[in-house]
Parts: sequence; structure tokens; C-alpha cells
Amino acid sequence: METVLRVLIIYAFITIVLRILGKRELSELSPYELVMVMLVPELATQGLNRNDYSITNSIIGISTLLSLVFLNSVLTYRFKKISEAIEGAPSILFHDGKFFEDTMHRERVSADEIISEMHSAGIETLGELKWVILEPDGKLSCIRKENQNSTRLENIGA
Amino acid sequence: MKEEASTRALLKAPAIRRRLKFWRHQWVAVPLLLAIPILAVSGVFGEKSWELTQMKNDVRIRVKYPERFRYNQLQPIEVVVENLANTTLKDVEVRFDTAYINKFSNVSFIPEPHNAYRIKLNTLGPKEQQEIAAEIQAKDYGKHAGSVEVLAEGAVLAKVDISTIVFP
Repeated sequence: METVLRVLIIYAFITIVLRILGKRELSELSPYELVMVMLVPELATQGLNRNDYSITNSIIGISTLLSLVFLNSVLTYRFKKISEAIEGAPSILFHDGKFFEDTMHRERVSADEIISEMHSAGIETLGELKWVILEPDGKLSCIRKENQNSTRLENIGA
Repeated sequence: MKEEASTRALLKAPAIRRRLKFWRHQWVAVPLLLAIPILAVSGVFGEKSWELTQMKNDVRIRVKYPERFRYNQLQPIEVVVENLANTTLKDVEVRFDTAYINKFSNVSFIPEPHNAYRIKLNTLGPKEQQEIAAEIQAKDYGKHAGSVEVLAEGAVLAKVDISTIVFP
């Protein structure tokens, strides 16, 4: 009982905190992957060397966490509003020669960073650039104007 | 922000109704996965104590013991022996099943046993009761069964069968 509650509280807490922090903090991992990476080892360790040494406790903790992850994925797929609330929506940082400065400030992405990502995508000038989108998982997508080729880039530290 | 929002509409995904569908193996595996925390919340995997009372030959024995608990946890066993007769019982002993006790570690008794899990209560006056407290730590997994007996002058007066499940 206590294990289920603890997992539930920590899972909700980390999910909310990550959502509040914003997309840039996630970068490499999706929120679910990050929660899993943070919690599964902790729960497994708890079962091995803390007060409750039992495998039973570890299995309860891990199955609770995986159940939450599964239910979360079902709810976010089925209900778009839940998906937007938990995962967020993509943010447009640049479109047809115009920077969206408010969004850049909120997402903490500098123009230098956009230019750098643009260069990494093989795009030389802003004139060739159609879209720069900050995806919900923290990655930047740069889309070229002429041939509409999309290049998805991993963020490199600012 | 308004401009960003209106531009975002250009990137909107087509409206496809979201339906839930699962693979066949998920219909089996997911309920099993969900069952574990539900059962845990309902207390199936938690510690549970049970109390049994036996009244025989004017002796009442009440044993409170762990019915189930998890590996390495400590749990108490309480035994209360009461003489219901109007005569004094001599050389009273409480005997715990050695095979049962050996399945646990860090076993301690108050009062201390004089022999492999035989505890002397000596005399038990009319309507008098005495208590034995023990503590056991889960070691071996599985179901362990045993008994607690009350003896007077070597003869068994009352016996309670107990069993404990230890989760891994």
C-alpha cells in the first residue's frame, strides 16, 4: 500500500515539475523516459538494500510505475487535451524570416542557438529557412524553404 | 504570442479520431501488470497477523502470529497461556515447533527458552495466565507450518497449529 502511494506521488511530482520546467530541460529524453530512468533504478535499489529488502516490494513498485506509464500513454493518446497538458505542444520559434521572440524567451532558446542549429542542418542563411520548431521533447526541427526537406536535430548545449 | 499561435495552426495535424486498440498480448499482460498494484493496495502482499485460540483440558492458549510477511521483516509472536481450572498446574512448558522456528532468523524469546524452543512457565495457578513474547525475522521463502503446544508435567494439554507465508 505504502509503496504504491509513494510511487504515485513521486511519479506525479516529477511529471508536473518536468512539465513546468519546459521542453529545453528534457532535450534528449521524453518526459516518460526521464521519469522511468529516474525511478526504476531507485525502486530496484530500495528493494535490494533499504529497509524492505524484499523482491516483492521491488516488483510492486516497478509494476506500479509501469502501470502509471501505460495509463498515461493511453490517456494522452485518447484525449488530446490531456496530451497537451502533460506533453505540451510544439513551439514555433521562427517562420518565414520572422523570429517569435516571446516564445524564444519563454523557451529559453537564443537566436544564436537557432542559427547554430540551422548551420548544423546544412542551411546557410535565414533566407533559406522556412520553420524552426521546438518539439515537445526539447529537440529543434529546422525546415528548409526550397525543397521542404526537414532535418531534425538533437540539441547541442547552448 | 498571438502571431505564434496563428502560425502554429499551419502545422496542425489532420483530425483523425483517436481510438484505443491493443495487441493481443497486451490484453493479457496489461491486466496482470495493473493487478499487482491493485492487489498491493488491497493488502494482499502486506504483513498480516492472525490469532488462534485453543481451549482444552482446562487450559486456554492464545497465539498471535504473522500469517504472512516479507523477506527480512521482523514480526512478533505472542502466546498467552491461561489456566482455567481451580487447581495449580505444575511444570508448565510452551513448546514451539523446531522445524517452524528454524525457517526464520534472529529468533528471540521472552522468557528465554531452556531448550530448543521450550519455554518454562513453571507453575500456573488457578485462573492465572502467563505470556510469552517472541520475535522472528523472515528468512526462507514460502509457506512454513508448525505448532505451539502447552505441556504440563510432560503431557500435551493444548496445541495450536500455525502457518506463515514468507514473500521473497
